[in-house]
Amino acid sequence: MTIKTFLKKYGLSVLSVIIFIFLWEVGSRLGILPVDYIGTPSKIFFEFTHMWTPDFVNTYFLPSIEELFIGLAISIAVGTVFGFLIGINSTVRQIFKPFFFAINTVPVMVFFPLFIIAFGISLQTVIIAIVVTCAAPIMINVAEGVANTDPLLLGMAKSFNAKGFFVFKEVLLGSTLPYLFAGIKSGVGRAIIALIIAELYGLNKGIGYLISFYGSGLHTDKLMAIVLLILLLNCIIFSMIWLIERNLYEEKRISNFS
Amino acid sequence: MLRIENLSLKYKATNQKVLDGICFNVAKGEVVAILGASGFGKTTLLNTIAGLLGPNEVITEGTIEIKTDKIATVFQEPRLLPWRTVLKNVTFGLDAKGADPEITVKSGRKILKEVGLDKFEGYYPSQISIGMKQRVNFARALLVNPDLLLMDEPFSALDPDTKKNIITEFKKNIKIRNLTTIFVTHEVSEARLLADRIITLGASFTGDIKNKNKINNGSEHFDHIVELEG
Repeated sequence: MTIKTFLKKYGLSVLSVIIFIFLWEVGSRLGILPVDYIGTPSKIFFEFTHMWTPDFVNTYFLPSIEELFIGLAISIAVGTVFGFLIGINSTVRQIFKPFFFAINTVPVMVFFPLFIIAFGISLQTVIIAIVVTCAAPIMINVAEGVANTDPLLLGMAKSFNAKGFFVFKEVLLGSTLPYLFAGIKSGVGRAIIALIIAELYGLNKGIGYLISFYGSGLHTDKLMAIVLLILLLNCIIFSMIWLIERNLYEEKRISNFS
Repeated sequence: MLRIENLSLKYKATNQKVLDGICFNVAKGEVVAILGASGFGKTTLLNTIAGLLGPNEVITEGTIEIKTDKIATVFQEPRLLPWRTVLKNVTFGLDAKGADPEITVKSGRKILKEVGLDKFEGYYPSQISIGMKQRVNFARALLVNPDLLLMDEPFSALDPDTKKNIITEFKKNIKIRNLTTIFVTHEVSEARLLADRIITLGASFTGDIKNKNKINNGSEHFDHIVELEG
């Protein structure tokens, strides 16, 4: 992507963020904005660059990253497998549909105290919270993708006597990939929220715990530095998904023919 | 190669009778065009011969006798898989059969050369023209070495010049292989260019609404259509 293309595609978004940060900084320095509650961009940036001590990395950052990535990996596996089962098999779909609908609409985190009672305060409990929250949108999207597979492509496969796993691998999987990625993107946001809430609930490590600690001590700049970290984390995960997505299918679908 | 006797067909979902009392034969190596206006069951007839309509979708009566199970279809829309390259799309039928990948690729490249697409084997469907896609569609069907080739209005989306070139190309390939071919079309010019024999389907040409689905074997109605089209 050239600089010109990048600016055309993202220029306005980048500019709006720069203007927002500039107005925030100016407003804070002039005493227009309540600095105690929202901090100032320069101080937040200072805190962000100075928080990377070995203690922060080992006690707070890495455990959260570990929980998040294990949780996401399990969610993608569970969501994809069940999504395909539901999409392909109408009996499975009818049996599980009400439960998936419930999981997708009820804020599962309200049950987190029950998870703690059942599984204790541990890494596994946070991972379970992430999976329960994140797998549902992936599952629903994959099932939708299977159901929306172009019947003409399935007819073509049938005309060549393609059956079973071959049809799954060559037709259904390719057709469902955009839906799977849409589900993962939707799931990532939910997973991060689940991670933070789970850590807020009583773990004494992870970035969720730090949010609780800084919030209760009114260390606004430090708290906002953690929020900035979460935002960056989200951006990094989204970029990774975008790269995989682009490599797997998007480039192939962009028409170069004119 | 193919004998159809008193074939009638009704869609279960709509309870609509689409074909009624169809009778015709196709000899080995013959290229037959089924000519008719839209909505008279041409594609349904072709899908029935191809075995693409299951008992859950349609109720059929009558006899269809086909002396081979090696049937391939060239679809109206190319139906290429966007995530497979041109070469991988062409080899789809052989891949589905579980053929040796090395032989499959070799055969795929050979047939791509025959249809003039050897330089495009690594391209994706979105990167080639509609005419090229239709050639891939054709090559994919030829690669499984069928005894009976069915083609469902394969030229309908092409501009006149491309259409003429592709029909000539298809005809050459069909004749070289002595391939029994049935293709449906609503254009007399296509039928005249490609077919050895033309069968008409539909009432708009005969004026007989009651018998709209009767296929008239022979060319007497074709003459009438030529007159109508001037």
